Amino acid sequence: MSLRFKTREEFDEVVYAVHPEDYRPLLEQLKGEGFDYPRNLTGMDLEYGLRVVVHLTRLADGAKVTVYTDVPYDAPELPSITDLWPGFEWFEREAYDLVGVRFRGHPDLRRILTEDHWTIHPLQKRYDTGGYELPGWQPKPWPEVADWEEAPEGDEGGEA
Amino acid sequence: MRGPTQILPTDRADEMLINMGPQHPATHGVLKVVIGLEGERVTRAVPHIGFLHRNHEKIEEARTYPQIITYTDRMDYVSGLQNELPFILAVEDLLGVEVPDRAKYLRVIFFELYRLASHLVWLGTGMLDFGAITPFLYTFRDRERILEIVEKTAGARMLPNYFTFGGVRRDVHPDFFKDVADFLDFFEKRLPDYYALVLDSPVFQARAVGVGVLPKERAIARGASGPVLRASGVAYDVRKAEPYDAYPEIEFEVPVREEGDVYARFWVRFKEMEESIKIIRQAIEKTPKVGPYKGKVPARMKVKGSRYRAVEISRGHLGAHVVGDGTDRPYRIKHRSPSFANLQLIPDLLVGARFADAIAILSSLDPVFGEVDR
Amino acid sequence: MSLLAEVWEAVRAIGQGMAAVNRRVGESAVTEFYPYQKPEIPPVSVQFLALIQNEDGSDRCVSCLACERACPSQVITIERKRNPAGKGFVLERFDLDFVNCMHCANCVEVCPVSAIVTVGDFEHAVYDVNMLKADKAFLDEIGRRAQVWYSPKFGVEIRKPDGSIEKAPPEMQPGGLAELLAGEEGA
Repeated sequence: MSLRFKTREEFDEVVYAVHPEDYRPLLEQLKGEGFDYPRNLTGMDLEYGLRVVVHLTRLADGAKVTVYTDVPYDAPELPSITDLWPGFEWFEREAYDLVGVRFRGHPDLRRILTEDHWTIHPLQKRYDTGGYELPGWQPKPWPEVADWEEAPEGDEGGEA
Repeated sequence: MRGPTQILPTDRADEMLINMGPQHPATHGVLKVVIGLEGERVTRAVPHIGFLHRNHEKIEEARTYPQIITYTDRMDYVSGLQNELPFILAVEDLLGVEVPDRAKYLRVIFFELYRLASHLVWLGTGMLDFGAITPFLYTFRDRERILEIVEKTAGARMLPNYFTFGGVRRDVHPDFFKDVADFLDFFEKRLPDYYALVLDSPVFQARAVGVGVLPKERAIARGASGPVLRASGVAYDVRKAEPYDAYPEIEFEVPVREEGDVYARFWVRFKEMEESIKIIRQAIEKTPKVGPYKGKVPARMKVKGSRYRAVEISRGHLGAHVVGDGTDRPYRIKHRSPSFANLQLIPDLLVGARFADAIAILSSLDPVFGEVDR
Repeated sequence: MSLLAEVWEAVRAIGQGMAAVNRRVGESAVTEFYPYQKPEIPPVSVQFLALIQNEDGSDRCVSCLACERACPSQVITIERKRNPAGKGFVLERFDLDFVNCMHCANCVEVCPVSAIVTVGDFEHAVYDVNMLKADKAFLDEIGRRAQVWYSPKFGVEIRKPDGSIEKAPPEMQPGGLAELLAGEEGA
């Protein structure tokens, strides 16, 4: 089965938008291509779902890739990539803590920066800077054409 | 209460669990490590961070782009100015701003001055952990001269808020180049003293050589960066790997050592100070004497797109991931801090070491908690 | 290693350290005796903020709200009203909360008329935190007392003994280097 993803060039790196089910297979493939250094893992809230962005580089020649995928609010789950790059252990904990993405198979998925007993994920857009829920906040609908899907004929692609 | 309840109390009769920190003077801030001890040997080490968490990233989402530069300063407060650069570079990329030559070289000079200042603080406080008080007094005195030079131009000492989009905020003081050159001559004479007191001292070597060895593969996989990575034999330096500002025009070496122990990490930082002196000398020579210090920046900044940029600060690979949605406030900013990644090595390094060496290993990692907890 | 070699190693280590320390014995002290001997503060240093008035005592500030918008910690509060005679606005209230001020000088950076400036006046420790909530009268008073101040628009300015304000010589200006170099070539 071929992996569902789309690539584009941005500045000096290749950006992969990938279907969440193919997130881990694609990263395994990139690990096989020699991308050995974990640069960064960002979790972010897109108001229709959560996004995880992974930045990798290859120390041998300095090539850089960015991989991202979106998951819906009601099932914010992704497979952990901690066994491929142990350096992402704390980054995944941070993404779980602040944004709320749950990583399956993470060895120790606890809150890292905020208190253990907190129930909110403060970087979600539904909260204001004080941690209170914004009145009248509603999630947006999931985009009709996700970034990793081919746009239908005669239609512009998904949002940038 | 914070921290894991599942490992307390210990189920082993011969093991003692102690909390080191968060108020322990040797943790350089507010790090808490739950250490399991079997006699003198560390059997497990579980680090806990977040005591200094302010959620910079959420605050910055509510600020305009020029306001955010002030906040980025406050992450790694020991090398304040260096933190501004990855965020500024990312926004400059997204806006397509050109930086004039003079500003590029000025940025390099200030960047390296702060590397010297930061390594001097590390050397002083690091040696306090080893029980030596004299280097602390000497290094802080030398660092004071750097801060005075910076204050004359940038207006503040530790958190100067001096870099800005398209260059630097204001031109340098007329004495600036002379002051810096004088300081470098002075500091070059001081370095042999630090070698004699620290690196070449048999007392220090007895405590540092062969302690806390970090294998090369583990360092790369764990995402370690900066002197910690280079002491393990990996010549990864962001200044060489993805050059920014005027670094491509400047010749310098990346000190690398194969051993990966505490001594190697100290050695790498010492050599980095020497390289910094070389870099600043070249930059002073090459800086255009006159010229603009700031490029053209749109008055209302509407940033759209996503960009990750990294720089090599004193502690390693500092990155900023800026996502803009076309308004004057960012949609999301993520700061990738080097100490945060380096501290993941605590279980790798501490388990199996002696308890007294744990302090030495922590000081060789050189964490600053402003950026770990952000 | 034999005992003798170990003893020699220890003696050498101590001697090496003591030699480094002894090299600094004759150096002059760096301690400043603060209340009697005041440090020299460069005018660009963000020690305190002040409002500057013109020589005739009128406000420089034109109530454009640029500083209020630029402040990252949102400590500046400005109230203004339309000028009954002529155009523009009249300043009614200018509050600056130094409790939350981060001393980043973003307000000084954006001021189009150099009304809010940085001064090297640093002795403002107070017993009550509420006294740090400065109003316009307080900021004006600091401005009147200041002898030298800095703003990006006009550079470093000096108040002369007769009360007139003029630009400082290029030796004191950030960016005075270009002017000095041009002067050397002309001479």
